[in-house]
Amino acid sequence: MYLSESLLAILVWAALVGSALAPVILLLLYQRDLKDKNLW
Amino acid sequence: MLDAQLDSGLALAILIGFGLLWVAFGWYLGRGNRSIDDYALAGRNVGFAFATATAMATWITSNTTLVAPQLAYQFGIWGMIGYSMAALGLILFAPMAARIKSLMPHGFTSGDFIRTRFGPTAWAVFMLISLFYAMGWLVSLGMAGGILLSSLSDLDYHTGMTAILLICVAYTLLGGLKAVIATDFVQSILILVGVVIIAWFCIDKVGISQIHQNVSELQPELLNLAFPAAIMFLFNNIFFGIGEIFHSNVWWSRAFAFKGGVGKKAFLTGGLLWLPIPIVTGFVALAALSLGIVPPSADMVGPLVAARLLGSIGAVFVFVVVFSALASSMDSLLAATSDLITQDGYKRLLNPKADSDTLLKANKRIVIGLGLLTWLLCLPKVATLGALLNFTGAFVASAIWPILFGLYHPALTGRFASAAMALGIVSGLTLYFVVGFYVAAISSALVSLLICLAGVYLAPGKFDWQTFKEARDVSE
Repeated sequence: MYLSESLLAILVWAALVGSALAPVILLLLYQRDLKDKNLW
Repeated sequence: MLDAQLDSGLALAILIGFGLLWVAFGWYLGRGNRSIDDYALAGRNVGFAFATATAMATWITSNTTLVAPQLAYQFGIWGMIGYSMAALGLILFAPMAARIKSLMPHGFTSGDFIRTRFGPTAWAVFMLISLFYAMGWLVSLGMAGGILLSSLSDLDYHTGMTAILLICVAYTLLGGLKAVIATDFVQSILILVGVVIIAWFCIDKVGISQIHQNVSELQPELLNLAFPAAIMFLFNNIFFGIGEIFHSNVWWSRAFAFKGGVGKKAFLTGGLLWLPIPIVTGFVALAALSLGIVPPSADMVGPLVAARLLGSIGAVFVFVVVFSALASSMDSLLAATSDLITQDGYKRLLNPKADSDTLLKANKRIVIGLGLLTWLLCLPKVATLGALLNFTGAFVASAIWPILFGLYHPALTGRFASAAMALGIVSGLTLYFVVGFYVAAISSALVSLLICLAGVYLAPGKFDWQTFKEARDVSE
């Protein structure tokens, strides 16, 4: 049983989108903590 | 070795520039550190954004940037997915972080917990596990630094390894955990952006279709969903990752350092954000076959593919990403391990009456000592990164169940907790040598579980949770 090309593509694209969203989420959280004076 | 290698002058210039930047940042953040609480636990007041970033960045390490591609290259699809399952460690630690903070609001280290919960014998076994693992991880990171620089530039292994260690020791020494966490935030952004760009180039220049076709023709086993060793690796890695996180003071110190109510959601979010990264870095390694790259050692496959895809500017780019990944873990390990040695070694065994100032000074000296010891152990390049790390799997997985029962079930006694850890290690190491590295952690965890269950049902104790509150002065 071998992984098909379409399943590989779905796996890679899902992971890539997830990884691309991560820095955006972190920066939004930082902005919110900074605004609330809640960083430390 | 590479198509696009940096000359030694440029590599040194980047190293010095980066080093100065991080060290200055560490000094700036460390100016307000007045007590051991400020230095070792960032004042116990870390907010959600920094908490999430440090949980994720610390877990992105040579594992994710060098070893995940190596495992995808060796085990294919299960190597990538197996590595991403290490996110379960962070996710499962989320409720534990809340429990730890509530049981021990003034605690310092994982050693504090084990000693108070299980007594001195279990504490001794646990310290052995913790220190062995911490040194194994530190050495693997130092070695990764050397491998990175020697593969991306004309500099040799020893120069790269020395430079990365020196920079991390300097800014950890100056800024303590606050510097570690703040640099983790910046490093996590750099790593994530870098990884996404490299994967994007891989898809754009080679293509998923081409990669799939080449792997199917040249090494079809890598796409085999019923590849036995790889499936075993998947389960082994789950237990390995959980064992690493559950026992290590790197994560316990964060549970103590985060603001009340932050730990649970920070570890959960950090784990979910980390989950896709090994799949992306692993996928990049699969392109090696299409690009005709034959790495001299498997752990260099990731940087080699990335540098080939991105050309000479790419070599600089790859260097920055992998350097950030290494530094974000090395600083955390230096800080957490020095806390462990300060609290559980220096204060407990040598100077029980030490005040905050004395502990602060001792902690800083221990950071320097740890850096020096790591440097000495990294001088001979003894093992590939994966082999070195997997050897520690037998140790860390043995601590999973004693910690879980210890946190949530009053019936497990110190005697059985000690036996579970000791016999778990013995069985894990035996199978590591007899069968292979991919069964060390899973067998260790299984034996440890059986002994914990035997203890809980055959000779139950009755631990009083109030003991943690009474032991408040242990580390203060």
